[in-house]
Amino acid sequence: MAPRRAPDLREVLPLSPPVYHVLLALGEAARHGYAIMQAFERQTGGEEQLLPGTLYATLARMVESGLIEETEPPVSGVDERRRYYRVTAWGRAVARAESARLRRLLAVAEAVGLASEGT
Amino acid sequence: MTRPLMERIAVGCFRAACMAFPAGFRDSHGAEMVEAFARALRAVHARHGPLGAMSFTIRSAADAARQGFTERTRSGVPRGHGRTIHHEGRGGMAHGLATDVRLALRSVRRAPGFSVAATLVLALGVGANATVFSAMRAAILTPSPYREPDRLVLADIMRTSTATGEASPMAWSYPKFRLLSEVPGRLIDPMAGYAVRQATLAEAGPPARVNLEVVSAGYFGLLGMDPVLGREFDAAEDDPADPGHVVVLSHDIWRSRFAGDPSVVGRAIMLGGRPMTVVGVAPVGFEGLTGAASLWIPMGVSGELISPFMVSQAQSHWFHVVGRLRDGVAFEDARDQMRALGLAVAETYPGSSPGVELGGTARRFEDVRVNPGARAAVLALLAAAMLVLLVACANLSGLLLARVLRRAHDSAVRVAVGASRWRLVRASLVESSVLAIMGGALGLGLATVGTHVMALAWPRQFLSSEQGELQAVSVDTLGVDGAVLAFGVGATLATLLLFGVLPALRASGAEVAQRLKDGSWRGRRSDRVLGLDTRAALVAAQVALALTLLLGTGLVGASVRRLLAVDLGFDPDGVVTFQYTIPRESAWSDDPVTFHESFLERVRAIPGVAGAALGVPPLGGHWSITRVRDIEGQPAIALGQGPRIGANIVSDGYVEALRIPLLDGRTFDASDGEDATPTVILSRHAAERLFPRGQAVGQRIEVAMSQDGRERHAVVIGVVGDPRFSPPDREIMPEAFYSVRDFPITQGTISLRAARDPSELLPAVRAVLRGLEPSMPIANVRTMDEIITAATGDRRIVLGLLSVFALVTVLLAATGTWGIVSYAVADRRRELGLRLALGAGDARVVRLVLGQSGRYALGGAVLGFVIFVAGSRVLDAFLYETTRVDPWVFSGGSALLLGVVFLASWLPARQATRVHPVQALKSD
Repeated sequence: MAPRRAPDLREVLPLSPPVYHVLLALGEAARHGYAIMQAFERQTGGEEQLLPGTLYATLARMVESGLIEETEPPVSGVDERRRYYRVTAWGRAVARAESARLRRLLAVAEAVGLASEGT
Repeated sequence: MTRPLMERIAVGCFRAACMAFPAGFRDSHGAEMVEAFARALRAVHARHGPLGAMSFTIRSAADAARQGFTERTRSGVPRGHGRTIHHEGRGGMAHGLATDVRLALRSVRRAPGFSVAATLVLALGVGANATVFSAMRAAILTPSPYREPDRLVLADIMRTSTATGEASPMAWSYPKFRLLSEVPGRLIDPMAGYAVRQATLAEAGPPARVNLEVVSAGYFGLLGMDPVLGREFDAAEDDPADPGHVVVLSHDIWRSRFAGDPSVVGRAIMLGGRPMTVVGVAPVGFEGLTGAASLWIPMGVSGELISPFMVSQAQSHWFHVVGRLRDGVAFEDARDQMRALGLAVAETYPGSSPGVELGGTARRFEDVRVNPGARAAVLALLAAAMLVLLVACANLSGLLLARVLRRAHDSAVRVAVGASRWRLVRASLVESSVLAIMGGALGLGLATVGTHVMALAWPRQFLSSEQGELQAVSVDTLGVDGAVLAFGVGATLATLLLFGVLPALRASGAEVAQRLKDGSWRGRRSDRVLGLDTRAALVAAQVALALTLLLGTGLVGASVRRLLAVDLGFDPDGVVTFQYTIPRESAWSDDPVTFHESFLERVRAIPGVAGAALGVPPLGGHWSITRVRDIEGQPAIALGQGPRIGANIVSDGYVEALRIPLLDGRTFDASDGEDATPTVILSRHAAERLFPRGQAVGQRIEVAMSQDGRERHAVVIGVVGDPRFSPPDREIMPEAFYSVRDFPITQGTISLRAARDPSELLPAVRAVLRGLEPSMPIANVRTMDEIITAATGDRRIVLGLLSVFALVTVLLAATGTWGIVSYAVADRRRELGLRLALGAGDARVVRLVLGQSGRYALGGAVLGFVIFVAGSRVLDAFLYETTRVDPWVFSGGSALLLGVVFLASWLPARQATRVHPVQALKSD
């Protein structure tokens, strides 16, 4: 992937939930598609599933926009059919910006008493 | 359903849905996506069971289809730098559509029972059609893999009987073919002969009997199937005077026996006891025009390797000739030329069979390739599959219609607050589309399994053309691919139009607003669309279509039952047959009779063998079909005009081992032999035909049968029953049995009766054979069950699939009727409650409901008869001693269907009487 000039963050935010989750999953370690699905399930406490169609379409778009890139498998000798992905520097910046945005939103939610579950 | 099968269906569905992605995307991510799905599916299955897995599959397939289409529309548009992570555009129209899709998906989730039912109904319809379509494509539509197949022709000798005028194409002999191929200016050029034979391959593994094609030089190039390694035979190697000892291997045997070693070219291998040099390897998947070849040898060498008669005798007709039309030559001109050339060849080699004239002709290769049986079977099945789809449509329309009406109040509210009628129609259509996509994907998943099952069940012989030894269809071509997928999508769209439009029209019905005002719609007796009572029409349509299919299945079923009940003239229980050939290089080849006798003696001693004899078992085909030449004491028979008779060469004990009843005289024993007078046993049919005044035993007859050129009179020593050697739907032939001692053949077909599982006996039989002659394999092992299955094969396949389809449609018709009547009862609850309140008995209310649905069903049944009588011609090829209007099948079929429909209406009718009158009046 050719290096890109970082576009304005404001053009990218807010992120769609699958994109944000993929960034979070790959923040930990380089993973392949199925491992991202599993990480997603863990992140959402098993409440939600990332379906394979959405996942791979999202991955393709994210590679295209430079948020993530393909990488060598962490261990050699693993299944060659699988592609591994890792977050780019730009992807990390976008994820941080999204997290900051969400934190600000959460602060607002807390201020108006809509942050916790229940009544 | 077992888990692997379910998983395969699910993965098939998902894979089908992934076709929505653009090809480039599938190439790079497809395999991984499917694998991720399969792994996630297993995890879901382990945690949430089969229902969870099913739901996951449906959601994943819908998601993949949606993402795929998005990807397609996206990839066409150039994208701005770095700006890709956006939600879909929110234009007015698109917004409305997106909302409709969201609403539709929500209603799918909210009513899982309805969604699963609708998806399954549609999947059955689409699955049945896609499966049959894949068979049709393989059997009829797919052109053969050869280069320009429409320019290929078969050049034949034409055999015409002077007495009857009957003409039929016939095989070539080597000298005649040589003469033909030397004619200059042929319009069919090049030409090549081909025929299947067998030989023992003793190389790279245990000796095995392999099928090979004996072909003339240029065969591979003519078909456009040039060897991938090495070369094919040249004209010099094809010369019988100084033949090349060369062989071309099939790709398959090259890979399996020679480990795909390229250095095999140039090596000598032992074939038929001779070293033969490998000169080439054929392309992947090519097994010759006969579809049976593991390797090829030139015709020139067949005289040495198989039988000298093959190249020397002008009257030994044994191979077919394929050719290519020269550029710009019309088929008709080439055929006319072949007629003339055929006459010229016949003049050069005058025949020895009077009463027969030989000429020539040509046939288009593609016309001969498709087996008429396969064509008929596929068309009948396609008609049946269409019926399944139509019933599925009617059923779904009923389901959706009930829903639309149930939601009439919602619709009325939406119209009242300003929704346009078009919005309502669109919402309804979108909902049908979502169901159609899910059902279509599942249907294609079912089709992948269906084609698998079909490939397993389809008898091989059914796939070959009856003429020219051509293989018609390769089972490997059965499967779901782009064309089947396109067909499935087309069928789904057609279904969508059929079942989506009716409810959509209903949804926009002009009177919705009126209903909002007076709430009176529940009291209506019926709902009409385009002037038709919709419910009546839907019940009647389902009953009519289901009955059509049920009657067809019943007729084919009756035919198969009658076929299987045909007296075969012997006891098939536990009979198994196999072949061996004494190799020419074996010492036994000079005295085959002793070999056969020693072999049989040892085999009979194996525990569990109840009988064994040499001779083709009944139904296994004739050793030879010939004509009676002379009957002593009766007027002379004109040459070639005698009655046709099957000639069989058997050993002592044949009649006993196969338990063919002995009616008169005796069977063969040690007193029949070469030095005594030849002896013959006749079947009852033969005895009655040849000796109408009775007493056949002791008479002398001669049949035209040559073995080393001998033809002579034989004395009848016995008469047996009528074992059938042809398939049971053909007429019984007269049969004659000769002793192997009078006709010492080297190829042994053994009929063995096993007292227990024959597969347990075969190792011992092989050991006996090895003990006598180590290099001799046994071949063509077939159980009588397999033979009977093959003899009734196409009917059974058709019957099996028709039964599945009929069962599905009857179930659909039953559930459809049940749904519609239930809805009608709910609809009339107030009226029925009132009747009950006014003192009508339960029985009366039940009668009222049943009377109405009964009228619909009867109307449907009458319509069904009409459709069946009009369309049942497609079944003619599969009927045996059964007319198209069989009173038993007709009364049984309609009784069964009407009974089921009655039951399906009785249940909701009973329900109607359980409602408390006051409650019913209060409701609404």
